[in-house]
This record gives sequence, C-alpha cells and structure tokens, in this order.
Amino acid sequence: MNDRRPESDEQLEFFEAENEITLIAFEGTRCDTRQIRKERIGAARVLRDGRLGFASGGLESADGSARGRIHANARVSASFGEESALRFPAVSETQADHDSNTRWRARSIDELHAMGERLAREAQALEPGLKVRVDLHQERGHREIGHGGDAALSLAANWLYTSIFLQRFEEGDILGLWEIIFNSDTDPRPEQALDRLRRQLKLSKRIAPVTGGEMPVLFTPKGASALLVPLLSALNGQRIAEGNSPLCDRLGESVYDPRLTLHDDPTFPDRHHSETHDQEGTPRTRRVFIEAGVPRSAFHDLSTAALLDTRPTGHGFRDPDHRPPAPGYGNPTIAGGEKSVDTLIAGIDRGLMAHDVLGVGMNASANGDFNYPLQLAFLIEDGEIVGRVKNASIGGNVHELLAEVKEFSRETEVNHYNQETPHILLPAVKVVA
Amino acid sequence: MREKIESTIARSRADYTEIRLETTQSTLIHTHRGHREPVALGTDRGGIVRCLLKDRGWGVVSFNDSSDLDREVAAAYDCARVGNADEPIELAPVPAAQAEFRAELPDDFRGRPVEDKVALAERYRAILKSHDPRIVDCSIYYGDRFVTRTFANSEGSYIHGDHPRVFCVARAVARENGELQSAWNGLGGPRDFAFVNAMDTEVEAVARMATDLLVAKPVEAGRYPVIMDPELTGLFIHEAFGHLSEADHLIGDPKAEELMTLGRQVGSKQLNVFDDGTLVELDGGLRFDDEGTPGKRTVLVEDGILVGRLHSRATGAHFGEEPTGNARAMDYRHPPIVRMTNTAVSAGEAKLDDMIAGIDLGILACGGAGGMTAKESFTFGSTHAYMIRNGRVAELVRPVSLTGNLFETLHAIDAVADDFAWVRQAGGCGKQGQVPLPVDLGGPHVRIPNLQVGTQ
Repeated sequence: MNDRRPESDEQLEFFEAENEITLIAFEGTRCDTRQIRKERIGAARVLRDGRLGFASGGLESADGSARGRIHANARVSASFGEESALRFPAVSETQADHDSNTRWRARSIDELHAMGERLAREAQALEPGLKVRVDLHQERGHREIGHGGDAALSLAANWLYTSIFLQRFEEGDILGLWEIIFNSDTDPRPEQALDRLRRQLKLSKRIAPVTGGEMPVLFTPKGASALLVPLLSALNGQRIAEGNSPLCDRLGESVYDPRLTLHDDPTFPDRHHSETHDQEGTPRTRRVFIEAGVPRSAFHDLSTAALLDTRPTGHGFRDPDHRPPAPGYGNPTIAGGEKSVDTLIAGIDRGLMAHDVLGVGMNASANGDFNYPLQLAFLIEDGEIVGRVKNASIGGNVHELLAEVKEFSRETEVNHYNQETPHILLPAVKVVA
Repeated sequence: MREKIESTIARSRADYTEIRLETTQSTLIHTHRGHREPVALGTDRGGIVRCLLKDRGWGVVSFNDSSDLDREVAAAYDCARVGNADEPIELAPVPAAQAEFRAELPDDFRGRPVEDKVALAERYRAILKSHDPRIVDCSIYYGDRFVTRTFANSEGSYIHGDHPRVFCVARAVARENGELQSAWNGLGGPRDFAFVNAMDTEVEAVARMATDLLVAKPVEAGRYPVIMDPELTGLFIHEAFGHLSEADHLIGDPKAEELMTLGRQVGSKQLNVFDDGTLVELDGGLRFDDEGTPGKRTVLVEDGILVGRLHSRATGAHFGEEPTGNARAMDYRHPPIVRMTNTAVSAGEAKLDDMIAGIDLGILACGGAGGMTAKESFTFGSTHAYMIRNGRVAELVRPVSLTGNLFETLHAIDAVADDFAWVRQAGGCGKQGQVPLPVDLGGPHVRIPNLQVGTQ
C-alpha cells in the first residue's frame, strides 16, 4: 500500500477498478462470439500547492510500478494545473458493499450462454419471421477509492444487463422494437419485457395515417426519455458551472408544471446506480432536484461543487473508469400522478402515443429545442389506440412543454437501466407528418 | 516479445488464433471559459486474444496483464468451445503479412512539452473569450494519443506499427435574452503537433458562428429542396449508407441482404460512393486492419448501382467476396468488427452556383451535428444552415434536422457538385460499444429536391 501514500506536500486521491465483463450476443439463436474482458484500471488526482493534477492507465503489473507511474504522471499534471478549491473528503476504511448490488451471483459463461439461448428462443417464438438479437452483459466490478494512506472505500457491484431487439419485415415496412432488462439482485425475469414486446407487435400491425399539426402527445415511460434526458442535461452541474444551461439562473424559480417532481434515489433495488457512494467517495442519498415544478439544485461532483461553492451531491461518476470524474445522474425518477394510463388514453379525442424516438440527446439543442423522428408511435382516436404511425416527427422545447403538463399517469415504469417515469400527457405538441 | 507471442500461438489448440498487444500514451487538455480541467496524462497497456473453433465460434479474452499469454489463450479457447455455430465459420484467405512501420511526425507531439500543449489550448481559449461578451461558455479540447500495436496470428502474420493521432476541437456557447446557441469545429488525424497548431482562423469562426446564430431565425418545418455541404454529405453517407454496407449487419438478415444486393440500383445515376483505407494521412487510413488484411479502396456505389460491400475475413468468406481491410477494433479491449475507414461521395460535374440557381426557396444545410439511423430511416442535424431564396444563398438560419428514407433520398439526388473535400473531423464513429473509432468522411455539395426539414 505504500505506493498509495501521498508525498508530504500533497493530497492524493487514488481510484482503482477491477472488472470482469462477460459479453454474449445471439443473432436469432446463433451465438458466434463469447468474450471476457478483464480490466484493472488505476487513476490518481493530486492536489499540490492548491493545483489539481490527474492521470490514469492500465494496472498491468502487480508490483506497483504501474501505480507508481500513474501517480508520478498525476504530479506532473498538477504542475500545470490551475488553482482549485476542490478538497478530497475524508474516507475511512469501509466496506461499502450495497446489498442490492452484490447479491447477484455471477454466472459462468456456460450458464450465461444457456440463459441467452433460452431467451432468444422465447423472443423468436413471439411471432414467426422475426429477426431477433439478444445481448447479455455481465459485470463483476470492484472499486477502491482513497485519499492517501491505507484507508480505502471499497465498492462492489455485480449485475447483468440483457437487451432484446426485434425486427419485423413486411412489404414496405420495417418495425424495430427493443427492451432492456437490468438485474443486480434477482434472476432476470424476462416475462414482462416479452409481454410488452408482444403487445407492441400486435398494436403495430395496422398502420394509421396521421396528418401534421399540434395535438396531444402521450409519452410512454420509455418515450419520456425524450423529455427527461434534456431535462437532466440542463440540471448537470457542469453546464450550470459553465453557464450554458437554460436553468443557470432559474434554480429556485417556478419553471415547470407544479406536479412535476424529479428526484434521485440510490436505494432502489435492481437499478444501475443504486450505490452507497459515488465514485469520488461522496455518500449518496435520496435527493429532490425538481420539487413541485421548482428546480432546487443541480447534480454535482467535487469539482463542480467547488467551482460553485456548494456541496457535492454524490454524482461524481467515472465513465469509463479511466476518465476523470464528472457529474452524471443516478436513478432519476419522476413522480406519478393520480389517473391511470387507460383513463388518460380514454380522454384523448385525437393524438399520439410516443413510445420510442430517434436521436435523444442528439437532436436537442442547448436551449431544449428538439425535433425527434418517431421510431415507434401510435395514433389515438376517440380514446382508443387505432394503429401505428409512420414517417412522423415531433418538435418543441422541452422546458416550455413541461411547464404545462396535462397529466402524469399513476403507473410508473423503469426504462433505460435506471430512469423511472410515468406516462406524461402533453396537451399540444407539434407533429410533422 | 515476438518469440513469446509466436510460441504461444503455436501452442494454441484452436483452429485459428490471434494476439494483439498495445501500449498507449495520451494527453488530454480541456479548457472552459473560466477554468481549465487538470491535464489528463494517460498510459495504458493491454492485449486481446481471439480463438476460433470453426464449428463452435469465436472466444475472445482481453486483459491488462500480458505476463501469461498461455493463460489468456486457454481462456479464449474455453470461451470458443461453449457455443455451437449453425454453420462452420470460415475465414477468407489473406496472405500472411510481415511488416513493421514507424510514425514519421516532423513535429512529434511526444517531443513537445506539456507547456506547449497547454499554451495552444490557452491561445485558442483567449480567441473565443475575447470575441464577444455574449460568449458565456467556451471549451477547447486538445488530445494526442500514440499507440504501438503488435498483431500476430496462427497463419504467420506479424505486424508491428505506430498509430499516432492528434485532435483539437473548439466550441463556443453564446447567450442573449435567455437564448443559447452553440457552434464548434475541430481537426483530427494521424498527424503531428503542427497540424492542430494553426487553427486560429477556424477558432475565430466558431465564436462568430455562435453569436451569429443568436440572431438567426429557426426555419419553418416542412419539405424543401436541400443542398448539403461536403461535411453533411460525408456524415449522411457514412451514417445512412456506410453502416448498411458493413457486411456483418447482413448475415442472418434477409431484408438487409436484399436491400444491399450487389447490382441493385440504390441511388441516382449521379451517385458514386467509396471507402478508402489506403489514404493513411486521413483519420481512417490504415496499412493493415486488425486481422492483418492490407487497407484497400472499395467502390461501394458506381453510377447509382451497388457494386461493393465492406468485409472482415469472416464476412468475406460468408458472402464469397474478398476481405476489404475493414475489420477494425477501437482498442485492445475489443475484437475487430466491420467498420468504415475514409468514406465519401465522389465528386460530380455540377457547379455549386448552378445548383443553387435552380432553387426558388430551399435550404443550404452545413456541417454535421450527428445523426441516427434505423435501417432505411435517418435523421441528421446540421450545425447551421442558410436559406436559399430566388437562386441565391440568403440569410443564416438555426441548425436544421433532415429526416427521411435512405433509398428514396439517394434516388432523389439530382445534382452532385465538383467541389469534393475531406472533412478531417476530430470525432469518430460508434458501433457496438466501440466509440470513438477514427474515421474520415467527405464529399461534394449534393442536392436533394424534396426533403423533410425540421428545427433542432
């Protein structure tokens, strides 16, 4: 451990990650490649004379020479660093294993292969002629974070990520559907995902013509990422610190519909970012970021908190492990409303249900203006889903649209690993068809 | 080391075995308007083993500790034996290669002290900051990376070479009355420090564009005649068509195979598309791909007819075509998959002025701001755009998004200009989790008479 000790005139933060990742992909029921990725990554930050330095690299040898090289590079980097108000928090020797993230029993490659093959067959059986792809990604990870000396925070995370992608080809029409199942606790339960895919296949059979104009759009929980991702981007402490978020000078103001509440909860079981600490060692707790339509806080790592003279929120993530920490979101959750989804649909005379859009995070400007082609959407007429909409897109400004929400559904659903939202009904969204 | 690698491969029980080892040195500098992030100095070492059992499939293991290669080959063999291939996996033959090549960089970035790199970033930051008080945020990304890669396989190939890359990106965000607009530009390639050390004019243009966009109006969504500039043409052909040309997508996908049948008319007769890995001064250039196949120029579309597809050795064997040198991996963590190199639309014969003169009301869409595709559907963003009115380029408008059906759009191309340019962009391509892989893209101005245009 001596090679983790700081020199007398510096503070040293070390971060080390050891991961074993197993990747298996099925095309139909065929699996051509199985991969195991073993990684040992080290990173160091040094504060010397108030200046911050960073270096990282592979820990290819056990004798400490690789670690020594990384720390030496961090010291070189610090000599070019700017003055920083950042200070590393005290970390005690802690086994911070989170129950939900270590309960997963890692499977052998043979077991994973059998699991994937079974799932591929079940997906293939949903409908004759489907093109099916199933991916399994198992990760066994262990991370240590310390700030000099022997004390280290030890974080473990084991999980399995499964994705199912379906394509249906019919004359002049290609339909693409996908579902993700994330497990860090229990065995995968693909039944719900397969049920959703079965329902979407059925609803998609009939193509419904749509004309453009402004109309109500009901975003399903999966489709709601089109609204959530730009919203989270605007709450990123980095953008707030840099002055390029539309919420820069609006924290504390009433910006959104008073029923909109967004929080982050690291205690949910079976979510990607259910962790006791972030990857800088800051404890993670439940936090509300938007309360009754009022943005209360951005999410910060140590650096952005230091820049804005505020407290870190436990959102310092390293993605991938060899990069410096940056603010990222954890398990974002939008609270549900009072009415059921069926009630919301029944109340729409003519509108769309948006389930999947193309270009989230890409086709949205710094302002929150967006224009998303609809990858999977359905026409609602007289309170009923009447068919699938093709060749249409939706546009508007996320922040303006969320200022006036018609309803949030009572039911919520987790999508994209860790985003929980209800169905969100917006009264007037521009549709181009 | 060579003897160790070759003797390890010789002991492998697999039908085919390859080992790739890499060492990497890197520098990354990121400045914002008000502060500079710590200089990130990186050193990395690792390797990957692939074993093929023809009747079972591939086993792949990647690692940092390369002290026991026999252990890694045994683990890869164990991964390979788990499966059952529906049909035997064959590899198209390529001659065993023996090669060693060194980077020749007159102004080698490894010889430049970190001070010089910080000074470059600071000089560009000063240009952005001083341009206009409405620039509320700006960033400069400078990066260099020097990879030394060794590849060997059980067919006798042994290739050892240097792979340098340098890039610099400038970005500015302007704000006025609550309105935010951004602009960026960058350069990247397998070049030396001097390549990115004379971008002052381009950086100034980034600041000017960000502030100009504050007063530009958004375009009214609808269908317009559109002219794409070389950068957007390159992005469009890379994203919408190039990825479909990657033959690994076609295996087991009858619809995609039908769409990409050789001899099919996929676009207008003015359309010619190629992928060229032999242009080693560009970002996607390579002497050998990551299976040891030499880089090649592959014509994909000739006079609107599909005449080529991009292959690895396995997809080449599957389709009975020659490997094209397109099996590429982002780094030692990843196995090679079929990827583009330098992909472009060839120059045509039309004059840009004539193309514009034929439009009463249309859009000149410029710069590539990313895109997404789903088989035949695509959506792309421009970084900025101009209205075309009465046969002339008129006012600047906000960035636009272009949406449509790929093959309908390719068939609709009615003019291809003679002003070909490579983009030499600083970004990279993403596929199956391997991002960013250096590629280059290019083309001339291209006109599409009727395309769906939206605001971003």
